[in-house]
Formats: sequence, C-alpha cells, structure tokens
Amino acid sequence: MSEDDQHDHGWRRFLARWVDGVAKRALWVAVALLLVSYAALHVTITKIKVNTNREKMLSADLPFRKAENRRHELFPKDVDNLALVIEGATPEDARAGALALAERLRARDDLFRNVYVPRADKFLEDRGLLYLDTDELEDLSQRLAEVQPFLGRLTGDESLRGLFDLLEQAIEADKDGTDVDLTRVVERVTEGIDAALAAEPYRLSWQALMQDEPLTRDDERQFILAQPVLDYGKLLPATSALDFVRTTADDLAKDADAGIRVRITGGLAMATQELQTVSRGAEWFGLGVFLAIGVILYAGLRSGRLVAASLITLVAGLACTAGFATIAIGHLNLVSVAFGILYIGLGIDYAIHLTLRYREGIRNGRDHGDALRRAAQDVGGSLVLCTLSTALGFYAFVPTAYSGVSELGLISGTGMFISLFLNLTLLPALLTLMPLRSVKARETREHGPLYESVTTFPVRRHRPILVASVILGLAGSMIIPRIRFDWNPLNLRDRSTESVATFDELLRTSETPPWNLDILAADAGTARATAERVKALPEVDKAIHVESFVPDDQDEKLIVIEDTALILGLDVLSPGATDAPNVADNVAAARSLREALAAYGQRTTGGTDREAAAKLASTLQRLEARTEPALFDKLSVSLLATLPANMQRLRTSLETEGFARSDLPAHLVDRWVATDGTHRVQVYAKKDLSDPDALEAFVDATRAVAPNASGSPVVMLESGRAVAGAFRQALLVAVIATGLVLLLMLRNLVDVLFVIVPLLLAAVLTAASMILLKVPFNFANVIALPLLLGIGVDDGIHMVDRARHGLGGGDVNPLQTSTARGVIFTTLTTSVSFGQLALSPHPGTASLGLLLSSGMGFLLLSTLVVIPALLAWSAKRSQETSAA
Amino acid sequence: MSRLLVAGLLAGLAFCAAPGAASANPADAAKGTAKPPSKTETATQLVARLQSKLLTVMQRAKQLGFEGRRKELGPIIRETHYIAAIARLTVSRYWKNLTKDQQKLLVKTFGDLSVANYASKFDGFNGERFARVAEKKSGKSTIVRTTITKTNGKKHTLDYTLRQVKGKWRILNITADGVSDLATKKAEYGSVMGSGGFNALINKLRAQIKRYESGG
Repeated sequence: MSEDDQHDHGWRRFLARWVDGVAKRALWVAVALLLVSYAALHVTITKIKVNTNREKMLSADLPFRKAENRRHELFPKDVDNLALVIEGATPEDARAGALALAERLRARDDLFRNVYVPRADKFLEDRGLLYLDTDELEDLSQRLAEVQPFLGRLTGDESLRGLFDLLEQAIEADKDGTDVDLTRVVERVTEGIDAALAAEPYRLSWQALMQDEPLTRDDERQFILAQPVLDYGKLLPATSALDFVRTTADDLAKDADAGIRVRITGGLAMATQELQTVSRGAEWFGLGVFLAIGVILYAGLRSGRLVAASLITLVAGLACTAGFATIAIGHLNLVSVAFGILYIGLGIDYAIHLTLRYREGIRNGRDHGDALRRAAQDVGGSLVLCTLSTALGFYAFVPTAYSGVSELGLISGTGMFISLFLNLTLLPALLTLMPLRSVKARETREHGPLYESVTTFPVRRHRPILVASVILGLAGSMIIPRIRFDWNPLNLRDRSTESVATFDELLRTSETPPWNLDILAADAGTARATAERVKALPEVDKAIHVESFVPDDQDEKLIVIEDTALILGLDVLSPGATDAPNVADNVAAARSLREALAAYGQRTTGGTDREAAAKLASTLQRLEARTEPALFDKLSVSLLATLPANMQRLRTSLETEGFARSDLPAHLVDRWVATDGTHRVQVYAKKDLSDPDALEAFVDATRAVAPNASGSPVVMLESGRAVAGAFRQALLVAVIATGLVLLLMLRNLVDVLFVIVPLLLAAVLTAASMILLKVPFNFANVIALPLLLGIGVDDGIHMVDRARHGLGGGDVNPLQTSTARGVIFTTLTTSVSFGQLALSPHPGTASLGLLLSSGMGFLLLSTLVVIPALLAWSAKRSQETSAA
Repeated sequence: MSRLLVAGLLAGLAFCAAPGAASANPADAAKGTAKPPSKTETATQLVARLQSKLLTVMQRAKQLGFEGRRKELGPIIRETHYIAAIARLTVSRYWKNLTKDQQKLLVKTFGDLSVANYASKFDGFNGERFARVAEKKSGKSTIVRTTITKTNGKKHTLDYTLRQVKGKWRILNITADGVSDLATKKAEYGSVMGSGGFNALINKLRAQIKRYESGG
C-alpha cells in the first residue's frame, strides 16, 4: 500500500509487528495488564498521602521559607493552631464561656498540646487599668464616680428591689437640679423585663453599662488558640480535634441564657474545610466525567465495544499512573492531585485517534487484524511524537522550585508514557477480544455540499483567516501585560464555609486581625528599636513586643487608680445584710418606680429620654400583675447576674500594683521571647489586608525596614511570585523543548512552526479573554496551562501529520479526514468533562474549569481553522514558486 | 450619678426640731463626748467626737438657725475632714494645673461647701442615735462603720474613711448606705474645670452654698 518515507519505514514496521504480536496473545496481554493496573490501584489506595500544606510546596531554600521555619522553631506554640472565636450575649458570658471551653479542651491533652485564652489572661486582666493612658484612666474614674451610687447601693441589696429602688431615686434626682441621663440603663432594664415576660433569654451586661463608649466587636469576642495534636495517618489530620471542639461547643451552647457561639478558623481549619469542600461530590464528579466521555465517545465511535475498550484502557492507565505517583513520590499535594485531570484529558486523545483509524479501516473493508495494524502504523507515529513532546513539556516542570508543580510534572510526564504503552498494548488486545464486525450502512453515505463548504472554508479563505489571526494575536499580546496572579488563598476557598467567613470578618473588624507580620530581633534592645522604627511607618497600626506588656507611666497611673479606689469606696462595700425580697417586695418596688417614672414624665427637667422612661413604666405595669416567684427569679438573674463578677473585677483591678518585665508570667513571655533570647515583634497594618494592594504596600514598607519579616502576608506574596515565576520558567522551557523535539522528529522547520504558532495564538487569546473577563490566574487554575499546551501540541501534530501523510499519498485537507473528527472529539471530551469543574463549590476549582473551557475553545479554533489555513497558504506558495 | 442621692439620704436623716435626751448610746458615753481632742485619739474616737458634736447641734438646731449651726460646726468639720485632699480628689487631673493661690481658694471653697452642707442637713432632732459599730484597716485607710437609728427603728449606715495626716486622723470620705460622698462630688464637679475652667467651678460651688443658705 503506501510506501512511507524511507526514514520512518523502520519504526512504523516495528509498530505493526508489535500490534500483531499483541493481537496473537490478546487474552494473556489483557489479563496481565489489567492485573498490573489493579495492583497499582491497590497500592495507591493503601499508601497514598495527601499533603495539604500549601507553604511546603515551595522550596525550603527560598528566603521567606527559611524565615518562616526559623520562627516556627523558636516559637513552636505558634504553629498550626485552631483559632476559636467565641461570642456570647454579653462580654461577660463570652469570657466565662471561653474559659469553660478552654478548660474542657485542656482536659484532653491527647487531643490538644496547648490551649491559650489571650484575652482572659488573669495577670493582664488584674492589671488592666495600667494599660490605659493616664487620660483614659481619668475619664474612667470620672465615669465610675458617676455610677458609684448604683454600685454602692446594689452591692448592699443585690436584688430587683434594690435595683428598682435605686432607679427610683435616680429618676427623682432632677428635682434637686441634677441632669442625669439614665436612658441606657432604663432601656436595658425595659428590654430585660420584656424578655422575661415573654419567657425569652436575656442578659444585661454591666460591663457595657459601666463603659461609656458602645462595645466594639472586639469587646464582645474572646479567642482561644488551641494547638491540636495532628494525626498524620489521616487524610485530614486535624479531624479529631475539630470534632471535639464542635461537640463541646454545642454542649456549652445549650445553656440558652449564658450560651456561647463558637466558630473555628485559622489556617489549619481553613485547609481542612477546603479539602472537605473539594472532595465533596468528588465521587459524583468523577462519575460525571466518565459518563460524559462515554456519551461523547459513543456519539463519535458508534460502537459500544470501542467505547468500552477505550474507557477500560483509560482507567487502567489512570490506575498505573497513580501507582507510579505512590511509589515514586509517596504523596500528592494540592496541585499534583490534579494529575488525574491531565491524564484523562490527554490520555483519551490516544484511544480516540487509534479507534477512529481502526474504525475507518473496517469501514473501508479491511479485516480486523489489518485494520488494527494500519491504525497503529498510521497513527502510531504521531502518537509517539505526542508522547515525547508532551512528556518533555511536563518534565520541564520538574526542576522548578515549586514542588507542587514539579511533582505534577513528573507524574503527568510519566503518565504519558504509560498511556502510550497501554494504548498500543492493552487497547489492541481488548479490540482483538471484542473486534468491530462492521460499520453500519448509515455511515457510508456521501457527505453533502454543506460538509464540503464547511471543511474547505479555511482552505478557500486562508488569506483573510491568517490576516485576522495576526491581528487578533497582536491585539491579544498587548493585553497580556495586564496579567495578574492572585496569590490570596482565601479567594480559592468557598467564602461561605465557617472558617473562611469568620476569617474574613476578623480581617475586617478585629483590632488584632489574623494577618500580621513577625520580625525576629536578637534581644530586647533590638526589639525595642525595631518596634519604634516600624511603628513610624504610615502603613503600620501597631508593633507589639514583650515590653509592650509593661505599661509606661505606672507611678502616675497608680495614683489615679488609688484615688479612684478611694472615691468608689469599694473597700467599704461589703455585701449587704438585707433580707432577700419576696415577690410582694419586688412588686411594691416596681410600682413605686413606675409612679416615679410617671411623675418624671410630667416634668421638663432631667436628662433621661422621656420615651424610654414611659416605655419602662408601661412594662413595669405588666410586671406588677404577675405573681410567679420563678419569673422574678429569672428576671433577677438576667438583670443582675453579671454584676458580681464585674464588681469583683473592678475591685481586683483597683488593687493593682506596679510591675516590671520580670514579673510577667512565663506562659505569656514564652510566646514573645524564645529560649535563646530571640524577641518577637508583631506588626499590625492600619488597613484591611483583604485588599491586595494594601497588603503589598504593608509588606513592602515593613520589609524595607526589616527585611527578614515573616508571616502570612509575606508567605502569600512570595508564594505567588514564586509560583508565577516557576510557571513562566517551566512553560517557556516546555515550549522550547517541545519545539526542538518536533524539529528533530518532523525534520521540517515549517511544519514545526505550523504546530507551534497556532498554539501560541490560542494561548494569547485565552490569556487575553481571562484578563477581559477579570478572572485572574491563581494557584488552582495555573495547572490548566500545561494541559492546554499538551493538548494543543498533540492536536497540531495530528493535523499536520495527517495532512502530510494522507491515505493516498500527497497532501490532503486534514479537515476531511477522521483526524479532524478525532480532534473534535478529544476537545469535546476534555471540555465537557472538565467544564463540569466550573460548577464546583470550590472557587479555585471552578476557575480551573473556566480556564480549561475557554482554552479548549480557542485551541479548537486554532487547530481546525488556522492550521489548515496555514497549510493551504504554504501549499499555494509552493505551487506558485514551482510554477514560477 | 447624683450627688443628690447622698443629699437625699442625708436629708432623710434630717429631723424635726424637738428637744430630747442626749444620745443614750453607752458606747458614746464611754468615749466621752465632751473630751477635747488628744494626740493619741483613735479614728473611732474622732468619729465619735464628730457625731457627738452633730447631735448637740441637732438638738439646738432651730434655736441656732442655719448661720448658728454653721458657726458651731465650722471648726470641727474643718478639723476632722481632710478638705485639701477632698478638693484634690474631686478635680483630680486639673489640680496640678492650678496656681498655689487657686488651690488655696479651691480648698477654702470646698470647706465652705462641706460646712454649709452639714448645716443645711442637720437641721433638727427626732430621737436619732449614732453608734460606732466597727473599725477596720483597709490598705492605707481606716474605716469606721457607724449607724444612725431613727425612732421608728430604721437604720442607716455611715462609713467614714480616715487617714492619718501628720499623726492625726482625718476624714477623707463618708459613704452613706453605700453611696460615696467623694464620688458624688466628683460626678458633680469633676469635669467642670475641663469644660468651663477654674472660675466656672468656683462659681458652681458658690451657687450650691447659696442654695444651702436659702434652705434648698
């Protein structure tokens, strides 16, 4: 039949002999290879680990990683903490709840290495007043003087009666000419009574009342930093710890009056929830992919046997590649876990082209063996070339500093060889075991005029197409510099998951947001100096180090504190000896107060809001009609429960004495000073760092002063830069290497260009459309690029090769061959299957799906339109030159 | 809050004029009500002395009238109360910005205020009895707990906080049923200097004195 070129006569013959040999021993070959695949699958399932740490994917030699690692060594309590955010109806409840939860966590030292409640540290709380400015202290002193009668009288009679009596006296104060504003107290009491009457929970925060400013979000929050013991045997090492926190929190939340709300966040929690999001529905997605591929294959191949053989070969190859990954590397990371996508997208390509050629042979009347041989000979060559070039492209990723990508490259590159081997061995064996008998008559009908005009369109209009391509390519290239790499891992995660939503909220509203920088200083003096320099930066809000816990001007402040203690007369106030009131006493007091409020309403003096006073009066009226002791007890608890604790705290803090650095407790100091004396300076930004420009400015400014600053913002920025750099480098090398291999194999520079240039055009257009659609590149979707590269090269090779080596010799319009169908089907299978990714709840995965879909679309255009146009143009030119 | 709470409470302790027996409290008698102050006087003894004088004035309240009561009580009030400290504690952060003359004027005016307050409130007698209940140390201060009992049996607590100044006890604060007089003063006058300056404060103090004088 066709006498192929001399130089490849040898290896095409080898392929024919190989396939024949396989066909002779089809059953043995099939069984053996299927067993090997099964073994590979088994090894994978039992031994593979998944490394979810994004940081570790970058080389440990990078300077920022060294700085991070050093900091983790010096401050081990810092590493991998769960950050629990606790909120309650009042700050007092949040505090009590946090302490209760912390105690329960500490009891399980098999689950938690360390539990720390930073905002409820007794040492700091007792001395809390010293941390205020002297002015703030004076203001507080003034305010406390104003509420002193409440405190004084209430501790004498801590009951509803006492409270009502006191309010009555206070509301009548304006008769003597004093303007007192009791609005806030009146409103809270009204709320409390309303709630009790409606049998709803309520807590009055005396801390809030005693403070003049309204409570900030931070005031109402408590934190627990819990360092779990990680079980690396599990896929999600923090699961046991997380589950325990959840059940304990639910337990504590049951107390409706003093219940707390616990949310879990922090890097570890986010990584765990991210993996859970990603794997949610992963089985369904996998099924969906195979279903979609099966359907499309059937549409193209029209034979269940061909589809079955292709799918079995695909799955076997996937299993073997996974087995390779397990044996060669031992783990998958968040990037290399996507090797499956690459394998399926590229591997199905081989099966499709082979089976289509085989089918064409059968249709043309050949017998099974002959058709198989032909298919191998004709397609085999380009398959080998595809494998070499794609694998080389993947191996180009191996030497980068980004192990996420280099491991992916190793696995995928080897996968290509596995795919080639299986498609030339297992697939023919399976086809021999269930050969295609004949092609249905329907298939042999002639193609109509529409088919003719569509398939010759690029040939006829090759000039305008090429011109348009050049223009688009240039236009695209101008937009390319706007390419952005989004290094913010939060954007990859499902924002609605608890850990991420809480994290976002803390970034926006907390005074000590979770993203901050750490600077290591050799000693106290250096720490002091560094903190001073950093604090002066406009981007910096505060810089804290161990000495920040020792307040300034203590002597001055202690005088004010002592005076305040004297003024408040707290030492005098021992709990009263009055009898507890019964219902009648309380009702009487309520009535008396109501009457006073009514009288107040008639007057014009006094600073309390009249509407509020009237509301309280009417609520009291409803209360007076009740007689159940339980109701009054409940009301008493809801209005007064937080008072004793607050009084005690006030008493204790007013008794504070001065202290020095050496008095700080050890558990506090060793979070700020390492055993070797290294001090830590923690730097907080003024702006909300969820804005990437603000984050970059903050990091750059701080590092200008302290180049060794470390912390999440640095890690994110530098990771982004490293990864983007790694990809740029790898892709460049891949393209060049691929080009060289092509050159060697095709021996024709022009043909090589015909493969590469349309591919580059597709790449430019894809990138440009991403930019225009405002979809940035990120850690998740960059891996689409090598896949698109691989597919593009393969498709190009198939098209050019087919054009040059047609069935009847001489050049042929590849669009009219089964090769074109092959290209269309591979594109369809890849884009439909992986287009499903765009539906994932994980935004990172969804952006991958988007990138793949648009990339495949542009590739299809360039392969089916531009390549034939180029071929036609070169044919025309060589015609013209030979004619000349 | 309200200085008036204290004023109200003290007013509640005011009594109609009626001659009556001197205090029948044995503790009082034991301490010797008419003894002159001695250098070794304890805190309780000082309080006893003050309350004894108060009783005396109460019993002759109507005869003396406001001015008479003021004259009678003036010396002992100024002697037993640590007016200078009370003034400083009330204005707190603004004290150091005052000139020496201003400070002297402030202390004098506070003294006038205290005396006028006592004169105004202790304007009658109705069988009340003082009793010293306990004395305890608390940090740098000593607290003397006393009670005043009306004829209808109702008891009120009066706690005196005292410190030794140059060997003599002086009263810094009086807490009536839990309401601190210093707090009341601070609430009322503590921020006046911040918004109105020294003169505004002096004027406010004088206005209050005038109110006491006119029976308010």
